[in-house]
Amino acid sequence: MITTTLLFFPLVIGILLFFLKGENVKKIALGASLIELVLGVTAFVQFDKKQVLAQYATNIPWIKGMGINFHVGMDGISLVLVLLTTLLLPFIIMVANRNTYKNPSSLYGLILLMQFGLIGVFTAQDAFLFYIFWEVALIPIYFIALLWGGADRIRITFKFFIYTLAGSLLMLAALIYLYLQTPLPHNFSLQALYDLQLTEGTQNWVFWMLFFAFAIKMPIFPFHSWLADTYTDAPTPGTMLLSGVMSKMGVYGALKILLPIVPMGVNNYGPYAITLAVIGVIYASLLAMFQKDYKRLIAYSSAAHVGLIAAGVFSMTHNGIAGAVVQMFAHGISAVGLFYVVDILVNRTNTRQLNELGGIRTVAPVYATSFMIIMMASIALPLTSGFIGEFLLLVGIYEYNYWLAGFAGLSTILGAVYMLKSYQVSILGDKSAISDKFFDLVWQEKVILFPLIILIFVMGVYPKPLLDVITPAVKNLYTIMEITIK
Amino acid sequence: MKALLLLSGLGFLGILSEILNFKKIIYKLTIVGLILTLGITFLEWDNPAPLQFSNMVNFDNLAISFIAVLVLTAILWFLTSAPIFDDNEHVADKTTLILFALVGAVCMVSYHNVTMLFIGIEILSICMYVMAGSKKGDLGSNESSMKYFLMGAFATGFLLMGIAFIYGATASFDIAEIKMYMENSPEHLELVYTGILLLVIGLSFKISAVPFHFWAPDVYDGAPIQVTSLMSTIVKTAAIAAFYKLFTVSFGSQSETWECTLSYIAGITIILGNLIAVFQSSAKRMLAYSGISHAGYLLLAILANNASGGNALVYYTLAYSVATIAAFAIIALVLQAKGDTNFSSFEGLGKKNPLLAIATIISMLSLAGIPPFAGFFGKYYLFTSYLENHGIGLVVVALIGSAISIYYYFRLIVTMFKGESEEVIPISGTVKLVLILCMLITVALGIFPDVMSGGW
Repeated sequence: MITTTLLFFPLVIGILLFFLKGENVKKIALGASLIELVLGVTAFVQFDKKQVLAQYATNIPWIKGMGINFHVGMDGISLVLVLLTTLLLPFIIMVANRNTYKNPSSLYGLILLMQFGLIGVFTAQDAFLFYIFWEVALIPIYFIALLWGGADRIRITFKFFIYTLAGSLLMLAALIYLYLQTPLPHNFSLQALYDLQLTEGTQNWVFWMLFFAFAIKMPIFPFHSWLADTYTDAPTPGTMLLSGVMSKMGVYGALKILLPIVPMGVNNYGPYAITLAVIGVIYASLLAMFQKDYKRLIAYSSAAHVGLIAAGVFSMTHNGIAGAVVQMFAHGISAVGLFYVVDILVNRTNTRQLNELGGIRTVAPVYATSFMIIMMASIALPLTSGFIGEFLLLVGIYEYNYWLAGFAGLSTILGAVYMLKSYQVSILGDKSAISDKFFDLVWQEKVILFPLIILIFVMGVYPKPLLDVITPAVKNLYTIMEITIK
Repeated sequence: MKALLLLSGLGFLGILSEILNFKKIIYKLTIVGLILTLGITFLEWDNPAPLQFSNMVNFDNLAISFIAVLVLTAILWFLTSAPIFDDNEHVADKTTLILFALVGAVCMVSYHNVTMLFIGIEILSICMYVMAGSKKGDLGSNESSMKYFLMGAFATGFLLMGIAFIYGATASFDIAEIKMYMENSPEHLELVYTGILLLVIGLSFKISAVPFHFWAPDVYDGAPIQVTSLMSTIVKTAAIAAFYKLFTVSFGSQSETWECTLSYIAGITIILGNLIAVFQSSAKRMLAYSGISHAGYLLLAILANNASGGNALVYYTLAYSVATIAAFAIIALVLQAKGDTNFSSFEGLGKKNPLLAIATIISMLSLAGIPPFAGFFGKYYLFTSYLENHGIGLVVVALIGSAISIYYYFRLIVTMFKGESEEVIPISGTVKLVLILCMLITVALGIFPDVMSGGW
């Protein structure tokens, strides 16, 4: 029941918001997201860690003739991502409150619809439902970027939409094929697809069709070309949704669809996938080093992190996969934090160019410190949220192949280089014309940043609750993969 | 069967309205009559009428569902097309022509005898030739009518030849008897093959599949916009239903003779239709080409060669017709307000006319086949029915086509949010009603696709 409520509550409120006007929409949206957060936390607390099957499940027939059920529920991995989504949404809405956007009711409506789609993706236990939510999540973010984006938004959002949709069409074809392989009467439930006995040849090509869909969404090199433009051009709440939550959809799809359904395909072509991912990590880090636009820099750093997560997934090791799930959570928090500190910077100075900034620390020490902490989490310093996930990921990749781990490890160093360099240029240094205009955090900004910082430390010091939920789910994933291989 | 009689009766009423001078109310009378027909059609559901009129027509559940789609589309169309019935001059003529076109369409979905199919196609086509030229003073409309007539006549020739060859082999026009003949090791194979090929060509002309599509863009572009809307919904639905029935019932057992040809036609139609649509600058022409590509998708149902193909067709034609009627209604409004249908005329619509914008978004998303709208499930049903006994190749082509189509459908959406527009386009109450109705149907069909998949 709790899953269904989590799913439909934002939909109902989101649709309602379209018909409302005035200042109230902000409060309603924030209130709704907070209620949703309470629900998410409740689900997390009451979760039975011993049971591996999807919990809080609802399963009712939807399209009877086609064997499609409205089947939602959460296992450990879903739960972590649902928690992440519900956790980030209040922050995203508060950030949207800080800026003035035209037509706020539509913006908040779309943000909540986006939450509906995202939670749907993370809770669907039926492959068809998964696909539907996969697309439903795309429509609101497209319109958020189209209607509130920057100057070149039309071309950029177009590319983004076509790119991701083309990928998902391939996934649709693969899913229909898999569906037709299930015993009569055909069935779309994920469990039925896990039980399929596919030959190695079939697994190979199904792997590629699914891989493209997920690789574009994450994105993995060389399918990343939509990312920087879209992230940079979207309004800040949109960017946060894209990088904080939506990039996790691809990884989640790989974990939930790709690994358990075509393990032999992953086994055969995983080396290509992981190599692409690692190339992407290094490439994105290098690009980030040379960016002059701050938001773009963060966008590339986000791509680097997601690339590392993907590498962990395709390493098919226990540590790699568990690390991927932990890191998805951690990266969501630090990405939202980073995009917000840059948003503050841009709002006060009206520029995103690094070389025009400088000397901000002297006028805004609290801001500078907050920025520093969030940045530390992003470059995975011990005791911050980023550390445990990145550590597990690197261990997993190392177990798979130490050369790759070496290259992937470079990304941590490169990450520190570009982050610290940009910090040095923009925040430290002498006072300048720009820094004179700057002022320190006001209370509304503190309300957003301080909880994020607390989260970063809590997760860095005490990640056990998360790991407790993740470990059994990853073990279960392993059992499914082994059954299918046999 | 009552639908056929009622519609014919309505048609004659239209003629009488001219003579007896009550043509002022004929427009409203027609809408009431059509709603009545729709209701009566539903009553015939699961009430299988045996073969009627010396086995000429067969109103099974499939035919009834197609009739329901046709009549519903006609109601929506009449409600949006008030402008062409506004000039008092030819109200009765136009109403009558369209009602008879509808009669022809009903014959085409319910025939049990190939001659009946031919008669249905002719009734429909002749009415449409006249309607295409109904804007008498307009050069484009005249050209459109002439082209449509010449090409249509040409296609009819092929069709008739095909029927003749089949008759030569089977000595029957009855589709059940042809089916029997085909299943029991046919003798005059050369006649059968030639006949089937000619029929493929003739019917491909009618549904405007590539390479028999050359007439469509010009005709669609030149005809008055309301007539274009009619041509791309009712005419297409009827033609594809006829195509489906003939090939799955009569020639289903001979599928190896036509499957390959038709697969290529379908593939080329999808790719070419979509590709050319990308380069159009007028929304009307864009929809014409997109209509061609939809004909390609629809051919998948014929290639599926099974009952679920028929179900998929009903669902798809309904989803497609509803979205297309809404799209054409919007384009007609823009045409009226701005004088042309170029994409640039849609600029600023998003701010000034939110209802139009939302209706455009929903119908375009549905046409592009994006979940959770009806168009997605239409495509989904088509693809699964095809995959039941075929490989994935053509479906991949169709998916690539869909991906291309997103480009031009989204271009229209994007244009609406570009630029500024001073004027608010006035929308009449009925058009508003139709747009809202179309949106509701599109969304509801998408959320509850099961409603449509009862067994027939």
